Amino acid sequence: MMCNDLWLKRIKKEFDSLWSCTVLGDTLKLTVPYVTLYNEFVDLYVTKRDNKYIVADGGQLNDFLIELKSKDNKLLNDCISLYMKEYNIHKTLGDQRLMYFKKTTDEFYLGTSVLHMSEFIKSVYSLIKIDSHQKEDKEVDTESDIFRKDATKFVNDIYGSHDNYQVSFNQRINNIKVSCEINSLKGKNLLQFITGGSEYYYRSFINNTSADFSVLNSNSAINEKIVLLDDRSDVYKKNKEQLDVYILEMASNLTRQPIFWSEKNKLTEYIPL
Amino acid sequence: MNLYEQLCNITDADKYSDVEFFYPSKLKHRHAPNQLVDDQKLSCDIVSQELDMRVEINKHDITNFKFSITYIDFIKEPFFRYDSKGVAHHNKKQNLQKGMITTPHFHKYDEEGDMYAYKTNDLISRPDEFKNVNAALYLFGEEANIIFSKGVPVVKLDETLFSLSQDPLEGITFDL
Repeated sequence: MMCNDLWLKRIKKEFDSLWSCTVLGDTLKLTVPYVTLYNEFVDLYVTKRDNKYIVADGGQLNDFLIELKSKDNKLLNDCISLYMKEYNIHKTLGDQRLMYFKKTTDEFYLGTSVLHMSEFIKSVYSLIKIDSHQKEDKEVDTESDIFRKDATKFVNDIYGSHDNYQVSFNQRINNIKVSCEINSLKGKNLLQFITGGSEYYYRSFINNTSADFSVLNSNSAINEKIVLLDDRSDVYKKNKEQLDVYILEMASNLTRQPIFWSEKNKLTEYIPL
Repeated sequence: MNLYEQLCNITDADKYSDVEFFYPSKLKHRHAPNQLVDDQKLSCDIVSQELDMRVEINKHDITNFKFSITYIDFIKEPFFRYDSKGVAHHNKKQNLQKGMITTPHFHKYDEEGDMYAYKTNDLISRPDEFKNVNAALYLFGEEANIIFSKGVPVVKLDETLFSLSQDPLEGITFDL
């Protein structure tokens, strides 16, 4: 089939049919042929104040950001700032609602204002959707997350309320990340929870801990350097032989033999109550 | 059966409620001052857990409200919804022109997991009637197959909570 300009006519007709408007007081609500990733058409509000044409979002964008608690999201804020700068969009606060708008004194540029505001709203909404989608994916606990949670609870149950000890999690010592610090008047005890979603990550975690703990050798304030290894995960069970070699290697940089989850109560032998 | 087929079945199944009224007076979110909500439970024979039904209304516009049903154990977002006002929906599987569904409209999932909007004959022939929240709730009950054992609930509104202005730009200054 030969291509022909009837296609363009047909497409244009369909696009044109999407425009619509409603008069609300002194404002024209305009629906434009732009769609967000939420499959919603973009609405704009157009009015005239002191010979200036205003094209505003009506406050919906900020309401939506608040609703999704995305207000402090860096990516979204950067995106909004860039659009505002690029398209000369401003914001104003009225009656608890933050509005984004563009203004022009010349009717000649009204179309440009509508295009810029449409692009802006469409893009930010779509980015919000992408962002919340990623968050949802992250919300599912992996096997490693569950191990970390269980290990945290286990340590907290033993030492958390003990008078002689102070427990803190996810600490940094000389920029080295440690899962847990169990400190007493006698000094610091470091405990690393080791797990991994794959053989590669598990092994990397062992090697990093080994190197990190070795670097901390000179730190005299540290009494014990201990690891708690996840031996109930499939990753460990399937790669036991390879991983055990690395665990053995790591042991020389520890103050105690590595503890496996299945024998976790050994911890109280190393750090007595 | 996949998740969405099951949601379609729940949408079609009878749901029960003995609620006598909805009173949207709670803020939807602590930091979102414009949306008032009220939540009630629905029961449904084909699922063991209860479903959540929500009435949500915009403080700036009492003709701007939503009714929704959520099955939180399945999926966080409502699987059936009525929007009285607001933006038009784009049904992406339809022709561009026909797939633009203005409000008021209902939303539900198709079996492939796409949320689509549609209008019933009542909404097409008498759209103005359903700007009223109570008339719309009656329609919602029928469309969502909810059996209200004590009659269709009344939506009570505390007028003092609302600021009634149709024009969202009214009173706002656009000085730079």
